[in-house]
Amino acid sequence: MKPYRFAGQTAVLTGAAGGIGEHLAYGLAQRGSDLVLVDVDAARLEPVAGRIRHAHPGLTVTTIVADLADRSAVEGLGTRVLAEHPQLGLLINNAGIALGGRFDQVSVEQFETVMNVNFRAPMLLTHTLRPALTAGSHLVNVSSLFGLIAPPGQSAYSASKFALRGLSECLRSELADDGIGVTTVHPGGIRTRIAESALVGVHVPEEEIEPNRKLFAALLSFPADKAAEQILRAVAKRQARLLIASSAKAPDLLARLLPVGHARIVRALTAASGSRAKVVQH
Amino acid sequence: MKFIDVRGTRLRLHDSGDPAAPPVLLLHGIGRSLEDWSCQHDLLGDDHRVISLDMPGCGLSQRLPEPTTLDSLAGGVRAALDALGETRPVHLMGNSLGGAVAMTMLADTPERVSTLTLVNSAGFGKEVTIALRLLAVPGIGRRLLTRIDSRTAPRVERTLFADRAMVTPERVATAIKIAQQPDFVPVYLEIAKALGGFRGVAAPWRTTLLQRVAAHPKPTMLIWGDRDTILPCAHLAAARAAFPHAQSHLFGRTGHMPQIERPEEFAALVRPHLAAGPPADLPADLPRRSSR
Repeated sequence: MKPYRFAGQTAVLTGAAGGIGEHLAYGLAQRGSDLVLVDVDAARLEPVAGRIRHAHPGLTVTTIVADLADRSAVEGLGTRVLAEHPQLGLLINNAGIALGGRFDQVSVEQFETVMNVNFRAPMLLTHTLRPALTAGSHLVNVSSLFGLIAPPGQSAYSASKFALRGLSECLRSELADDGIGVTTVHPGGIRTRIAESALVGVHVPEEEIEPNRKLFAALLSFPADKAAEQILRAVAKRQARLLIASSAKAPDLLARLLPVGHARIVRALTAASGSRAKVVQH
Repeated sequence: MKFIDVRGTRLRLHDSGDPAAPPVLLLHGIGRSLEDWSCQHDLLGDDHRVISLDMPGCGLSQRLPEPTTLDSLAGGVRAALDALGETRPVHLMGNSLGGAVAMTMLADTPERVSTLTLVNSAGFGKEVTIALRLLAVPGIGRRLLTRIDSRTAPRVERTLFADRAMVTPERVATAIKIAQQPDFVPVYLEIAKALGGFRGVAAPWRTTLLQRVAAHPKPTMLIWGDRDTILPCAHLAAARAAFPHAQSHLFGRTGHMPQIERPEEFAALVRPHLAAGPPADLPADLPRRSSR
């Protein structure tokens, strides 16, 4: 497959208002792509679009505010984008949410919300926009380190990211027949607002919420702009799989060396860092 | 099209539009001529005085007595503006080598520049087509340049555009006519030698020039074509780093000369830039890269 060329093509990007998505938007604009930027957070999305329109007046930048947890919103989004852009260069399913708490501490409704945003939305959007992807187009699904390993406390997030990875790897093979590339991305701890905006299980004790959030945030150390740059480079090369940061690469290696045994190590590490956070707290 | 005498050197120039309107000065690339800007004369002429010229020793202009360098070209162009009586600040626009000449003029006389537009400009990296690097090889350069004829000229022209349909008989005829001018080969070789060698575009002049222009920030537009085979579009990132306040645009399916290959889009892109420049209250650059 030929390298992906960004200039003069249209890219659809979800979760564009912050984190990796915001920097993907800047990087795509610098590479000459017209943009359809999607996010639930209108207040953060508009300044991102405004900065791009100002720095790159030759590009067409459309913003769409949509809640990807809502099935009909995703369907409406897909239908609108398809009508306005019958031909797309790139679709990046980047938006995602996290949920803190053990399986018995989260409600079924919360579990489903995570699945809906992290898995159902990309599935629906890709399904609706599939006709707009033609030979030479490219699809990116941002899974996670937790699409490779499933540590305790990440049941919904891991389930959704494993599901997205499965879909993405399957599509990689299916779409290759039509000359469409697919990249599955597994970021490790990237410095974004995901910890801040994470849902918290309804049965998580009050006193555990803040320490857990802080612990989670502390693990997010890799800069989001570098992560976005790596993703766009992987797209250009049509790379199948991209792991970002050593916090993704080391656990991935461990999981492949010890397909079963790695879980015990991950559990021990999680427990250790959890107790460390409690010490810090006191 | 007219010829003017500038310090004893006969220069060809194209001066169109309303003489009282803000002036735009268009500079061509190495071995090229003012014909590279003819579409933009029509597209920008409504509300600008549009001036393009064959730089000294290029196109149908005579050469300067001294060896051709960026400084001599910038000096010659400035003298041409004086001869035209155009002493107002100009909107400078340069393609390829013309971009480096424009930056040199900005560094020398910032008060004479209102905005800067760089189009697939030299100055942002060492990578350059092998055809230009070969000019530095003794014996080869002269031989290559003296053999531009009806057989080779279409091949050279094709390297400049993404779309082969751009290589019209008129463009080929112009290229051959220019290559037959007495000063063509020596001036071409002098410029190539001044700017680089077989290893590519030399670093010292680029570094110095970019440092000098950084002291005089002007509203700047950086434009490239993503299929440029002469100066790769990867140089656009370096250009953005050198001009952090600049606006930029990368054209898809476009080669070394977007002003010819995307004339209307090009004019639509630069027109607001010439009219206003970026508003002062908004930094044009996106958040800078983190240092990690």
